Amino acid sequence: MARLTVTMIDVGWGDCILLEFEKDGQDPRYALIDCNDRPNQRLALSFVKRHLQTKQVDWRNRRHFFDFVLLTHGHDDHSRGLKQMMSEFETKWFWYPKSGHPGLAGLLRYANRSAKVDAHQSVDETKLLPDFGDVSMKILWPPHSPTGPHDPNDENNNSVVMALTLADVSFVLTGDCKASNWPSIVSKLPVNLKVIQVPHHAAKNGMFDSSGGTPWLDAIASNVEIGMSCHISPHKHPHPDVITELNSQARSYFRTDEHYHVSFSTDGATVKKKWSRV
Amino acid sequence: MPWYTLCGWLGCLETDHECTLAMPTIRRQRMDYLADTANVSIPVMIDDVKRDLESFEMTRTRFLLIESTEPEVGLTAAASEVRLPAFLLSLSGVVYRPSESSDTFNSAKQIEELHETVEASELLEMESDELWLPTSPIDEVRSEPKFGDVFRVALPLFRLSMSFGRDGVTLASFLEQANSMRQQVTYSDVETSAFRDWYQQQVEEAEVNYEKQLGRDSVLDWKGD
Repeated sequence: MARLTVTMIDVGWGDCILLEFEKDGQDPRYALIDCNDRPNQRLALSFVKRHLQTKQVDWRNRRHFFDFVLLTHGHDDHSRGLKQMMSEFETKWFWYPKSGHPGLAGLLRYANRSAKVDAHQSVDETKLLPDFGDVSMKILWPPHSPTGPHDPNDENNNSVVMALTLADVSFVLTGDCKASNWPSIVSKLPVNLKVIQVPHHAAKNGMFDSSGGTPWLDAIASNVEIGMSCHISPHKHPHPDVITELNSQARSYFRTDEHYHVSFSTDGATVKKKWSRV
Repeated sequence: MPWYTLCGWLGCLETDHECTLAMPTIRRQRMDYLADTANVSIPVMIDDVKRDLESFEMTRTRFLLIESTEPEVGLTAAASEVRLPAFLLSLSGVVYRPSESSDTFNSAKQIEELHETVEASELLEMESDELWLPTSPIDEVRSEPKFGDVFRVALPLFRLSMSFGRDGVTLASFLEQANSMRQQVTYSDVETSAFRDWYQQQVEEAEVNYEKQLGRDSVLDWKGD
C-alpha cells in the first residue's frame, strides 16, 4: 500500500512542509518545501531529524536524500534555513521560481557550487515534474515568463503552487500566492482535491482579492480539508477576517499556531489528519 | 574581522597574533566594544515591505551572518578584560563590512570574496537572519523602497530590532523607541548595486549550469515536448 504524508511543521511564522512517500517494500522517500529556520533556532531541522530517527530512517547513508527541495518564492520566511537543510540531507533537485529577489543569491550560489545539490533550475507551470514515488506532481502557478520573473515587483505573485496526486486524492500547496492570482489558477485545480493550504499564512490578501472575493475558496468543495502555517507574531496571521470567512462557511481547518505540527496523509482513497497539540 | 559578534563574544584580548580560526591570513584584533558601538552600522537588505497589514507598517530585512556551530578552541570569550576559562561552542557574527580595509561593500567582488574567505575556513558558514524595521524611517531616506535595496542601520537600532525579533520588547515599545532612532537608518546606494550585481552573477552562473545540463536527466522537460 502507498501513502503520501504532508506535514506542515510548526516553525512559528513562515513555511516548512515535509513530504513523505511510503510504500510497502520500498525505502520511504522525502522532499521539502520551504524552510524558516533561524540560525540559532533550527526548529524544522530538528523536527525532520527526530522524525526520521523515530522512523529509523538513516539519512546519512543516502546520497541526495531528498527527492527535491522546492522554494516557493524568495521571501526570507520561506528560504531561510534551506541551505542548512540541503547541506544536512542533500537533494536530487532544487527548484525555485524565476525571481528578481536578490535574497535568493545565497541559495543560488550554494546550488551552483555544492555537490549536495544534484541539479537545480527555475520552474513554472510549463515544466513537467518527475513523480515522487507514486505521487504525480503538477505546477499550477506561476505562468511561464521567458524573460524574467512573472512579477518583478511582488515576489508573492511568483509563488509556486503545486498539486500532488496519489490515486484519487490531491493536495494543493500554495506558498504565498495572493488571492488576486487565483482566478487564473482555479480552473487547473485537480477535480479530486481533498486538502489545500491557505495561501500566504492566512493573510488577508491570501484569501480576499481586491473586491473582497474569495476565488480559491469559492472553487473548492465544502469537504476539502484546509491547513495553514500561521502565527500571531509578527504579521498577525491568520487575519481575523480569514477565520471569520472559514467559520461562516463551516469549513474544517487546521492551523500551526493552534495545532502545532499538522499532517495530512492519504492512501489515495481517504485522508487522515494528525496534529501534535494535546 | 569584518563582523560584530552577536552572542557575547567580545573579541580576542590579544591584539597581535594570527587568528586561529582557520583563517590565518586575517589578523584578529581586539575590538574595543564600547568605543566602536557608536560607529558600527550594519548593511541590511529589504526582503519585503508590508504595507497592507493594518497597524503593521513594517519592513522585513535580512543581514549576513558568519556562523560556526563547531567548538573551536581559538575562539574564546572575554568579559571585563578577563579571558573566560571557556571556548565558544558556537558563534554568530553579524557582518558589518567586507573586510578590514573597506567599510562598505562597493562591488560584487567584495561580497564574493567574503563568502570565499568564510567557506575556506571549513568551520564557518555564511548565513542570513531577519531584522524588522519600521517602514517610516526607510520611506524618509528612500522613495518607493523595494526588495533588494540595502540600508545601513546603526548598532543601537539594530540591537533594538534584534530584541524585538526575539520577543524582547513589545511592538508598541519597539515602535516608540525606534521612532527616536529614525536617523539611524540610511540608504546605501553603492551596496544596493553591489548586492544586485552579485545576485545577477549567481543567476548567470545558474543559467550556464543549466545550459551544460541540457539533454541530461537533470533538466526538467517541458509540457508538450
